[in-house]
Amino acid sequence: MKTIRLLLFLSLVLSPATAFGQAYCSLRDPIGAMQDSFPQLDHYRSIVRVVDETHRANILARLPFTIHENELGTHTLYTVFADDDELIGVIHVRTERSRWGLTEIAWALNSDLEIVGMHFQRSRDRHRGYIESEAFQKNIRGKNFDELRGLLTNDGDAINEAVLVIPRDGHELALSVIRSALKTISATNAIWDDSLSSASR
Amino acid sequence: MPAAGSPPNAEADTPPQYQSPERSTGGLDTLRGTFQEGGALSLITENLRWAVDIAGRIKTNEDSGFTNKQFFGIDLLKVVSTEKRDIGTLIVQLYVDRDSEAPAFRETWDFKVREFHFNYHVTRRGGVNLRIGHIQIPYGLNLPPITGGTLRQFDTGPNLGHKVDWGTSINGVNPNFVYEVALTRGSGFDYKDKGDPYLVSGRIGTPNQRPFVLGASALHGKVLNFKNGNIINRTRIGIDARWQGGPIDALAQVSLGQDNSIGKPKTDIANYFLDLSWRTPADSLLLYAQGRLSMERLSASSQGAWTKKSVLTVGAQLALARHYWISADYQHELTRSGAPDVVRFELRYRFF
Repeated sequence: MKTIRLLLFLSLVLSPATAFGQAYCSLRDPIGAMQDSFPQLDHYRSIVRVVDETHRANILARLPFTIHENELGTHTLYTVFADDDELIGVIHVRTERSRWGLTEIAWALNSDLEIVGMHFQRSRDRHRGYIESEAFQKNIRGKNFDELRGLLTNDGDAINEAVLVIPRDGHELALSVIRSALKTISATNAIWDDSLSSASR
Repeated sequence: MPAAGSPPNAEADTPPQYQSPERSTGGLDTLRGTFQEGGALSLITENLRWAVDIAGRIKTNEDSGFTNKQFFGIDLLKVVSTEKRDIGTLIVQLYVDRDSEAPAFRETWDFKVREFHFNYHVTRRGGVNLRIGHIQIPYGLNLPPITGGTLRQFDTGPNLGHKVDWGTSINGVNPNFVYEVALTRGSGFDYKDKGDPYLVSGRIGTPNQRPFVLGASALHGKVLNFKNGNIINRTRIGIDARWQGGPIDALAQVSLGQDNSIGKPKTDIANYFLDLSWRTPADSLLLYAQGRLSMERLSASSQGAWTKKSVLTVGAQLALARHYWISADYQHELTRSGAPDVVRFELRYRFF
């Protein structure tokens, strides 16, 4: 019996498969973030996609800054529905590099890809509390790509202090969060546009 | 859907802050390959992630020599969906290990099921799920599972006897707390019913995403000791706490309870565990130190002295490249029972 199990196991391991490696995207399901951002949530469906070079080029075309090829890879989009099967939004978790390690942010977008909210799935930054506070969240809630883009300088490397006034020591994390939002909206549009269009019908 | 906006941006050299993020201290919950979309097997391959795991471990033994162990495994995660919604998640972690000095109750080549369960979404919002299969025992720092296949372990094995068990659980998530309550066989890796073992266990805690997490756990039942086949009547209640700030993580667990084996007097148990770790920003290097204090005394003599055993473990985990991790740890017993120090090394290759 053990020999049969060993042979079955080895046949599974040695079977050829076409696969793509994945970047450091976490697989922690953002269910709590989904429930909090979408109170009218009835059910959800996840869609896993591999980001190829065409997607990456389309994403880069919209962003004022570059992204490492390994920031992309395999990602999951959670499409969120009300009880009448209406698409009410999506959740997309992005992982960003920061001074204190990897930061995972669950972005909640409505069907027009405007920010509904954000939740840190993981963050070691001591300014996390400020970013989660209403004082900061009100600056990004309801904004689309172009409006978020306006919160940064032209080159996208700093906060546009003429538009967004935040404590100086919170700038680094705030910049990372806003850039993450831009990447999220770009990626969602570039990678899942077909799925969202059919889900919206 | 909104259309693309800004004019094309020339691809620049990768700035320093975007150095390769591939290195991490690893974990079975990340870094899996996927399959191309479409195809004849899309029903199976859709939302399926996989990895092949190979590890070699060397450990010092009591005779100042070394034993070695190799692990070969597959790790699958599949989200099962209808056209309209996700209905559950299937996790399959099957391993074969080879032990150069396998104990009497194990073969040299041994087939093991680490995790193998389906978590069905009873309510569609994720508040109530039903998990069935070979599951992590919901107690203390054992959840969420981050120590599968690693040298770094927490207090679960010494405290409960088993980390994983065959059975079923009700579990769920909401913005304010997470919970899991399980009924399992009590025999650990293998399903064995000799002596009618069983375990009822559960944990409720604050959400795992917060910088400070607090949990409360309880366990009661009959644990089958797979080394000697004895049944241990075991009860535990515990508190666990986790805090992370900057590069530092602190994990702690306190468990109180009783053990009662056939032929042995009932024993009061108090177990204390602390894990402090530091990691680089890229998560490529993890250093940790653990202290474990185990105390027991005869229940009949409530004023009696406690027998204590304390162990110190220090370890490191380094991501060498995209698919390779190397780990080492050193364990030293602080109480003078004469137990030898243990040194272990592990090289792990995870292909996806």
